[in-house]
Amino acid sequence: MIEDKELDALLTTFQPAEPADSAEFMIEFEKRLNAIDIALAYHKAEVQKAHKKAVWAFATGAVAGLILAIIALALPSPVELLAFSIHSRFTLTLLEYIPYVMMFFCAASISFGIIEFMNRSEDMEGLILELKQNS
Amino acid sequence: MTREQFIDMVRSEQKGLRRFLLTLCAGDRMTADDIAQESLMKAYLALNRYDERQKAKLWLMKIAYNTFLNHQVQGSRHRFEDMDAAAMMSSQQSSDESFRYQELLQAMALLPDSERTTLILHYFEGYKVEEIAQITNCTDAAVKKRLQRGREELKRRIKL
Repeated sequence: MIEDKELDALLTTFQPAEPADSAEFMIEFEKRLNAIDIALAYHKAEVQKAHKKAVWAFATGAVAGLILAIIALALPSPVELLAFSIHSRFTLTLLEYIPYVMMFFCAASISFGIIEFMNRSEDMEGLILELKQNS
Repeated sequence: MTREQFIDMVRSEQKGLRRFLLTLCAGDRMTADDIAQESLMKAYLALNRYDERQKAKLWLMKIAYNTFLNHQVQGSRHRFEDMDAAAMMSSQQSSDESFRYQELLQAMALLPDSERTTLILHYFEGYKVEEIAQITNCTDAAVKKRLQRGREELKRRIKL
């Protein structure tokens, strides 16, 4: 066991060795920094692309839904068709259910847009996490 | 902070940061520099969270310390078992002094990480208690306690 004074002398006079070449370290640091910048730029571009895609999918769904709704409203009702002596069961059934079919397509398109957007966001979060872990 | 400002900050602070990690890593230069690089990349990715009022040096040291702890958790504990590595830690040339410092370093190696880090920051790097508290994310009182416990343990272990 040593005394307080001796320990103080040891601790205060000890000079840790200086690290090796700083220039080399800085070169490696800037190399890694550039790699991070490239990955971040790629990530940013991917996010923008994903946003664009999602917006396009959503807009397409909305426009398609609107057009289909207008067409559905403009179609003659089965009663009107009967007045025109159209008795084909297939045509009548098709016309009766066409608004639901159109609604389905419209909803599917919009859902596609939303799912695409969410998937991309998750992918991006994963990419950022991976980037941080590997950096 | 811009990229260029960050590079300038790293240029001015890297030496102290690497010296601290080198001591923590028991003279393993490669691991110390790897942790330093990893810490700096983490700092770069977290630049938007950097508070300008905070001292850059302390901020970097805190990230480096946490990165070191992560490495420790991953299982690569550093010990001063290799006498050559321990000898490398001191820049003093005299063999008598070298022997004393080796004994000091070996005794320090047996301390818990928190106490060892506190002693290194306080005695070797010259940080104040409140600064160490910021780096190691604890209270001033906890730092003082660690210093005291670390010193007691060193006194018990070193036989000169």
